Amino acid sequence: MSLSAAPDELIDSLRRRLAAQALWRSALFFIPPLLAAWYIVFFLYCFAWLGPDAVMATGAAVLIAAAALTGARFHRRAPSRLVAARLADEKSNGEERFVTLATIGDAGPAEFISRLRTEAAAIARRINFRRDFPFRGERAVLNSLIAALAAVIVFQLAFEWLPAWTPAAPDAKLAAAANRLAQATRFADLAADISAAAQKLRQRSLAAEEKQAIVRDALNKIEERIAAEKKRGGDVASLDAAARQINEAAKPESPSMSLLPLRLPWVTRGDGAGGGEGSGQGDGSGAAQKLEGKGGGGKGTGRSKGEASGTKTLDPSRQTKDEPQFAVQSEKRLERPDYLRQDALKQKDGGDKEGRKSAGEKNGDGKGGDINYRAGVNTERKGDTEASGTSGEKTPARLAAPEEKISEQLKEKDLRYVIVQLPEVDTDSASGSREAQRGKSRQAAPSANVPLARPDDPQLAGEKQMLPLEYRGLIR
Amino acid sequence: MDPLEFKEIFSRIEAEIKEVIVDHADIIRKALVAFFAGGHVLLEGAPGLGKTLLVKSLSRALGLSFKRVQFTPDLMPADIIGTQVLSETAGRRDFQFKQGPIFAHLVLADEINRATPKTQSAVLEAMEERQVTAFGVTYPMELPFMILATQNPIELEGTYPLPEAQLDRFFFKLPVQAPTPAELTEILHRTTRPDQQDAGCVLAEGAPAVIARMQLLLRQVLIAPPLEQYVVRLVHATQPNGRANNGAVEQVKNYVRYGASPRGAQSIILGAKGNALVEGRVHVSYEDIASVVYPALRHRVIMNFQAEAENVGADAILESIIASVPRE
Repeated sequence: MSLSAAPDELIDSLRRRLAAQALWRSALFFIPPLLAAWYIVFFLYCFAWLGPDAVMATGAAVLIAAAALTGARFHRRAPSRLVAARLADEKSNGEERFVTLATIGDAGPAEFISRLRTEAAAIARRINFRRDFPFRGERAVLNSLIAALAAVIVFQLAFEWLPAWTPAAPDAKLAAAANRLAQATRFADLAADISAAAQKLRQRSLAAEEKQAIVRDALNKIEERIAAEKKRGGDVASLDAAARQINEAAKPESPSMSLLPLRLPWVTRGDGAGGGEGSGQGDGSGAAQKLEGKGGGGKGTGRSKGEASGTKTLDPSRQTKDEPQFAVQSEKRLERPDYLRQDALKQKDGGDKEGRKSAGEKNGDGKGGDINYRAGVNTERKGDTEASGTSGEKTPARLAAPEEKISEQLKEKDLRYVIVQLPEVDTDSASGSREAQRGKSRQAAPSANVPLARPDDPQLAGEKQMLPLEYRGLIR
Repeated sequence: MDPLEFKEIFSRIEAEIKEVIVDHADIIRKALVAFFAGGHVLLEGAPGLGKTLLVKSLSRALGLSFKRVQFTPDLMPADIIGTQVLSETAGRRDFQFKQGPIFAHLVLADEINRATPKTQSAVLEAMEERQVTAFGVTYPMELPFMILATQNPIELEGTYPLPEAQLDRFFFKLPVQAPTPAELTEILHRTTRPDQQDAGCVLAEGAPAVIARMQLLLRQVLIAPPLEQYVVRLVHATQPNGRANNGAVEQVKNYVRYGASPRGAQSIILGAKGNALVEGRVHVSYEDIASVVYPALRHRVIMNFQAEAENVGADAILESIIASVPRE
């Protein structure tokens, strides 16, 4: 700053200097968060959590946001000419000479303004910009720096510790499944494969697609093994458990996997509608198709027309006009392995009821359909029970078709059955003893190898005959 | 008139008065500033503190005419402004207006609160309009015109406190304090000697014209808009229920009945300008404003009964206002 500068020039120079300082302070306030955000984005990119496009977009967005915020902050703090004049007065003990000059304009006697300017110019010589107006950082800048560092540290620690916190980490799940399978010597080869997959998953440099492929491979191997074991009639419980474990690893709620855009079909279907569909699985037809390796048709058969199930089920070409939707849904269901059914059965009751309702509507009048439907419901309930851990029994795969004979391939344990004894017209019952009536009712209770619906289920009012109070006296 | 000339004349007048009046330098300066700003001054103090002497000395130093009116309960308006008397001129009898004591450059209204409100109000028109209306005829006052009123804060029995409208017409209200022992000693030395000294005349010839130029110069002093805004904020802060005065000081809300009028702001600005000229500046600073806030506003802030009961004065209220109102 020249010592002979006019006071107006001094005020303008001071304002520019203060504005530059304010701009720097605003920029310094937002640079640490910007760098921290870039670091996090770059970190995620390095470990393949974000793609290059996402990194570019995020980085640019953060930069633009920081620039906008810096501009906004600077706009609020940019000094005006009056502020500069005030500071000049303050530093030079100018007794408001600079303020007056900066604001008065030409409103006043010329000789007064001239004299004031002369006095201010003399006082301006006392001002040294470097000494009187040095750049000073704000406390807010330091706070911003500390906050940005803290954010980076927290992110880094969270990144390191997150897998330990979440049991659903995919590599850990796969390792656990491999250990479980390794306990059975016949699955040692499969256990080794899955263990190798788990090892691969631990490499953080893997891309998201690669991780998906590894999990999918593991699941496929187990599915194939389950199918093979079922054909041989072997125990697949440990395989089911391992598959379920791996499947849980692929669930979206797993924090470590939630960032991965998984494309596993059953993972994305765990909504309420899925639950409703799941309720119909107990009809057995879908499962039967699964066993027979056929798709389509599904439970549409025997429901809309009340015909015997199985005939239409196995023939997609004979579907009614309503059936294609069912067929699609059935296909989707059929894609689900057995170990996923329980997941589906855990869905909301509303979904279940909807499923039942829709199934009931489609069932029509046929008796067989009714029985099938109820059996389906019962299967669900058993599934519920199993899921809650109260029973370890395995639900048979499907219901026997009408007049289907039990063969070697289809052993009784693979078929569901329900024996219903319709109440006989007994004239003695009206006047019989209570013991006799109790015996009758006990005899009339249905028996099955699948859990039946509770008699008080309002959906199953047909099973329970409510006796109006006014008729009780007549019967007695 | 040059600012330096103004300062020189002012200093000489101030020095002449200080030759007579012991201490009271601030009162002398404020009274002179009020005079050059065209205002009137209310001096409040106990008897015997030199109020009358101050006014006499001022008139002598300025070389202006001086009249004194002792306000008493039986004083009538005509006793102040004048009346018509029957006079005979060349064998013809006619009513002629005989000017009262108010027709002077400097008028001392001694113990103004002892006169009835009717008489007090007789000076209102003269104070504000610089004219007197008697018997339907308006008589302009000779300029410069200044009323210096005194009132006694004790012996209030039988007095008539000045109404707010009249108080508002006084530019400054200056309290005259009792002298310190040293000042009293000096007073004794000066007043008990055989050769008592009066104030010398500074503006002997053409005093009114010079004073008029000085008054004009005072109004030309520069004041920055931010400083004007500060004055506005100060005056506005005295309003307990003013429009949008949500940030009123708690003491103002509790103790003030009425706040300062726009005349208060005018007094602050003109007083600050006069102070700036006296300090040799052609622009007003915050210090100039701060120096005149108390005399300009203390009689314009009307306290309520609670303030009187708790002995809270206007100066205490103004102090809190100055502390709370930001300069920027």
